[in-house]
Amino acid sequence: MKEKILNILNGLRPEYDFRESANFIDEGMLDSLDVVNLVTDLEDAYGILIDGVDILPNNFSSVDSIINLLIKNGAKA
Amino acid sequence: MKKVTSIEQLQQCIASVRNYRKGFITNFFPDPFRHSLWIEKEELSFGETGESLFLLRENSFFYSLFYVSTTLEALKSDLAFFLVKHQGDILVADVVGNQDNVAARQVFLDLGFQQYASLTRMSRINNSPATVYEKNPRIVNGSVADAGIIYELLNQYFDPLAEQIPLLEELEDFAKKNQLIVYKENGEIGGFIIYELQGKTSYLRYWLVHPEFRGKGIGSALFNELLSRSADVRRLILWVMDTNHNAINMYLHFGAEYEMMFNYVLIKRAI
Repeated sequence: MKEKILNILNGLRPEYDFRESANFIDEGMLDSLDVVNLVTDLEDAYGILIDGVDILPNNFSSVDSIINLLIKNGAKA
Repeated sequence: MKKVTSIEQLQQCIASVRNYRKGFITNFFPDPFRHSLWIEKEELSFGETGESLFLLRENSFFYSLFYVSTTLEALKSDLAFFLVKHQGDILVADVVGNQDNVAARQVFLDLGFQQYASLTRMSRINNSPATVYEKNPRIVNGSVADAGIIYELLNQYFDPLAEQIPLLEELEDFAKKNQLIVYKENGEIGGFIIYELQGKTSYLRYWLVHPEFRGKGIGSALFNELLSRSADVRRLILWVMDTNHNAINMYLHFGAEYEMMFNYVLIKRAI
């Protein structure tokens, strides 16, 4: 799951190394426009719909937080 | 339309569209500081129609229109209904995204909007440590007092319909964060750059050299100062009007490239 998410993040913003970052939002690697695109990419990749109240920057700040978000919304680990 | 009274209320309204679980399209990208100012000034209203949420931000002589909807089909029918009640208003909507998600542009065109302008996003990737340029003593951090003058310059030289001029409070905030770089000669502001720094990314927001100060290399000096301040930055992002060839050439000269990200400014005049 981790690799798949990293691939999606890389596709979105190839200029950053997401493996090296502690917080994608604080480090400016993903902005609000990227988050909207990321939600769509994740939903397509996992065949799920992410709950609206979960679309908060903190839930996209690391691969682990994205995994938690996906599992909470029905993705299979 | 009802006034938006808090950021939480706004988030709740947006979440309710998502929770139809049919899809999600929007041109509203959360910016808590900016949107809190709009709410505080009672400039932001909302209305829910069908599966869509519409937000109107009151500007000097027009409204900025934002949509949050499930699908293009829902947007089309809900927007048509919404427009019936807003025939007397000048509405400006920005459709933003990559090639795959700017299809909403056609929905607006079909409903009588006209394309007023288009902007492209460019970025400059910093692959090596930033060069630190020689300091120009006339390039300094703008003060809170300078923010007022810059606000006037922005209103004079930028297009409010296409370039989203910030509020004075936002400019003061940039000044407090030392993100307002000004060129001063005998106390007079000859040019400025406004930028935002977020971790490894900086955003060039506005860059202006006053016409009386042009041709002296002030624009480059301001940009070099921005680059010097961006030593740890991986990516510098900016939006530019497609018709502004001088600026585009300048950005290309400084190593920026097109990002295939677009912003269409669509306008509906009052009937």
